[in-house]
Amino acid sequence: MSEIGKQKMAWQKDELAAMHHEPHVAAFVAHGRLHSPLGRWVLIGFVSAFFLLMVLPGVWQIWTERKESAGVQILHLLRDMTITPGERASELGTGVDTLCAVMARPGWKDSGEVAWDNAIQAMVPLWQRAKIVNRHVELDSLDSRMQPWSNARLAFENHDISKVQTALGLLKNHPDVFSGFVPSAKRLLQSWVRENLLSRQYLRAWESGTEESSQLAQWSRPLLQNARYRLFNDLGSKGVAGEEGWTFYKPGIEYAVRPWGHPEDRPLQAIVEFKRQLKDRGIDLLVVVVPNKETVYPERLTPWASAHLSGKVGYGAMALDSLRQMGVSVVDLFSAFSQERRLDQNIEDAIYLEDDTHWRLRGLKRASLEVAQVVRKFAWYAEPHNSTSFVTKACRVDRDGDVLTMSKLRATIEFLPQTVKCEQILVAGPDSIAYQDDFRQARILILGDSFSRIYQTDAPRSAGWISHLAAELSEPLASLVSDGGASTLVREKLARKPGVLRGKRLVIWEFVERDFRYGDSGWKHVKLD
Amino acid sequence: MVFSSHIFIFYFLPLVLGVYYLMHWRGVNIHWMNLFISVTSYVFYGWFEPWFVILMFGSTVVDYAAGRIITAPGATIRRRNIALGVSMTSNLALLGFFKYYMFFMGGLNHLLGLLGAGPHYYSILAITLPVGISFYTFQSMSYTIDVWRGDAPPVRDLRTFTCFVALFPQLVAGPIIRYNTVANQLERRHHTLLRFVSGIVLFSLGMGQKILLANSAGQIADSVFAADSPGMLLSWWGILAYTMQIFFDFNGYSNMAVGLGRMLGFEFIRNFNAPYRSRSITDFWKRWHMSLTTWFTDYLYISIGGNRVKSKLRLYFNLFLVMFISGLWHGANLTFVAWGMFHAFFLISERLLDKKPFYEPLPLPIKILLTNLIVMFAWVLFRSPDLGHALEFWKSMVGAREAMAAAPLLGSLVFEPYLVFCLICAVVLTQLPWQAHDFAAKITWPRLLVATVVLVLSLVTMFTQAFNPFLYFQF
Repeated sequence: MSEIGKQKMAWQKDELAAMHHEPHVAAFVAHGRLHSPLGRWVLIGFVSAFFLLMVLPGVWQIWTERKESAGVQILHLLRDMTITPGERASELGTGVDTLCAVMARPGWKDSGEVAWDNAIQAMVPLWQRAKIVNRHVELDSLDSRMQPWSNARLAFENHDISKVQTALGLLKNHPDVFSGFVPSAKRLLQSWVRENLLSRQYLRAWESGTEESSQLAQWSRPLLQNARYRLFNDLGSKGVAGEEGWTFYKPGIEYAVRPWGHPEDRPLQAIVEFKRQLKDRGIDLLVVVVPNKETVYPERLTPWASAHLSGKVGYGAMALDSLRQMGVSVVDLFSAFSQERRLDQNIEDAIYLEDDTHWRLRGLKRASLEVAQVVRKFAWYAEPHNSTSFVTKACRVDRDGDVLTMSKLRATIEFLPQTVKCEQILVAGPDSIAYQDDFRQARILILGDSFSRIYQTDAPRSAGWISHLAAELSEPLASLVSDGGASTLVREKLARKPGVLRGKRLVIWEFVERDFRYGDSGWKHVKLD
Repeated sequence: MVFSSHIFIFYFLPLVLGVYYLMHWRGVNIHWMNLFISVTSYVFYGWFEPWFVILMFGSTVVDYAAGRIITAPGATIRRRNIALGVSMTSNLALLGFFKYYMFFMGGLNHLLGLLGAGPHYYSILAITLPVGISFYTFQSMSYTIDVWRGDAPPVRDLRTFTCFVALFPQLVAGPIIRYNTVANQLERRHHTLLRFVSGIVLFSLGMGQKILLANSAGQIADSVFAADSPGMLLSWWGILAYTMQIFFDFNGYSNMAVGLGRMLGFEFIRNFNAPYRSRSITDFWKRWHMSLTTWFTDYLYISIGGNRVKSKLRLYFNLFLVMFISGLWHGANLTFVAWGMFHAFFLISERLLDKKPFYEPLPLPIKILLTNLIVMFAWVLFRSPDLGHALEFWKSMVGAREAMAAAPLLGSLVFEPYLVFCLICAVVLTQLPWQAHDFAAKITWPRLLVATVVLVLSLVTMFTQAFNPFLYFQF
């Protein structure tokens, strides 16, 4: 043995000697000390039970999937790695060949619109097929591999024959297209290795799909959630139980306690950029940030918070100050709601719903009042416009709280719906027609999230804050709404419908405070064409 | 693949065990069984990122060849040294490139930025760290060093060596196995019913530690560490949660690894031994991540003279160096280096006092408490994204930083009854005199029952949790 080896052995001997006063420390070097008073058959029974526990869920899964004729998920892996790439390449190749053949027919160019419509109808499914690599991987429209397909589609839609021919030529040599065995074999192999055999993306997607469709998971998940709710009042990953039956949305709380870091500057930049784009079109922008429920009612969330914290947690107020400094018009609902909540008579009269993230009648009415006050200060507001009179009609509606819905507890526990007071807005007149958006007449367009949707397009309809704002201003409005998507999706919607801005003087952009961090699709720059 | 995942538990594991024992039952040669384990281990590893399998195989082949050259009949000392050098260089280069390239280039750019060369003087490649690279490179290096020293016989069969490096139970997060501790088992294994049952029990307990305790504690720690300024009470609650999370996460993985090893007929060394019952930092390092500690002791500390040096100053330097490198091994970030040096400071101070802490005269529970407080302060460095964050967190812990207005709201997240219950259970379990290893050493009816309940509860809970990899995967 080498000198170092001897020194090491000597050292280990010293150390082990030092460890002797600690039998548990010394135990780690001891092997073969396992023992049991149990008989052999007990151990065999235990091992068998373990194997059954491991194997039965898979067997159950395969049996169910076969019964439901949905295909066996575990076999998708094999199929997607062997057969699917070839099938897709072949389908795409056939599709491109067919298109080329159709366009090469004599007289095709002279057939006019009908010919183009038919070609587009043949192109669109091809484009969609190209997106779907296999059961678990779908290419994004912006993916570089989709670019030739998108270019071809655009050329067809623009009826540009020279570009169509160029695009089809490129598609024939696209790595995903099978056009004869010899030239395609290498490309197909590359595609197969990249997309299937050695793709982390595919493996994650397949694993995720397998877990999601698991019968055992679907059976056991609600049972565990039920048990945790009954034992610990636990609402799962989305909800937090507050005081006196109130429930809160966890991401909203997380937003309030995390620092306002660099990523959150992006919303402000996006808002200023949007304002600039609207300004170029002679349209004003008014930003309405709806406070989170826990910002207004912190003491309902936890007894450690006192009512005087209302409006002071989170970064909504700070963001509004920054926006004002950047020249953006804003409505301060933080101060307004903090004042309003002092008028709470009882729990049924609060600004927000107990088991939902949204507001009640009082909240939406106060919001529409505050917004109306600011709108009236715009110079163009006094210009002559079509005025409409509205009346209100009291009603009630039953609502299932969204926090409990998101917690998925309803699968095993029946929660009573909450009856909520509402006021529907009707056009004054003998017919009492419920308020409806009027895109042609409206001077104001509202972009919003679920706070704009609740009571408005939900039951009882025409009782949301948009209707109440219309009543306040005595004029019809227009709106584009996207649940959770007020940060980007709703602007993208607007960009796709530029005609909506025609005749508008003001865009009111409503979103909830937590969207500064958690808005769907983030805060992308969206160009209004 | 992750142990605590659907695909591993319900598909991979039963399939591997089934085929393995079928081979055993049919009397297949051990080398073919080793090859089977190697192939399944490559599938297991490739599941994270298929391309990295090539990297691991390359490293394995280099070390296997180095071992053969070192032990070749008539090999000169020069040739033996060159072979060792090639093995060490290739492993350290692999580790250095994938783990430290971005860290050092970032640091270099920062330095050049300060000298006025612009903040992005060198463009830096974004490199994905191969999972478990720190573990398998250390394991592989141990082989060539042991063979070079003459402490272990060389492997003659590549299938067996591939099995040693890739062995899936402990591949990605340890325990780090030295070749000389498993050399015999790679040639001959005892598959007994009792060992298999003990493996199931240990695997079940490890799974419970990860899914029921570590993940719950992790929710608290993540919320507190992500918060703006949590205040004193919540900072302590957060670091307590992280202290539990890292132990039960890593110890859970190690227990599952040892348990799976037993199911396949292997016996790996124990990685943890009630570290939060330590009475000093010296004691803590005899109980925490023991496979890494002994690796550093055998291959680094002793190689540079260990504690048999003439000068005390040199001894302290040796200790400092080992802890510095241990910190760097954990991650390419100054926080890990600082964590290593923080521990080095206390280890050296205890050496000055004859391996005793400055609070030695106090009663045992107080000694344990004070040791844990030091360890918790050090974990702040380990958990924080940068040194600035760690400093702010320390300030919160000692009450030198005012809590944010929203701190009570944070309380609602981290004092949820279920999480509090799990954290209390975790704290209690760390203070029990017998741990999972001891529990699985003797198989009785109540223990089988406990293991079954823990396993079933863990599996059901697994379905309600999002993907939650082990903390030590990042190292």
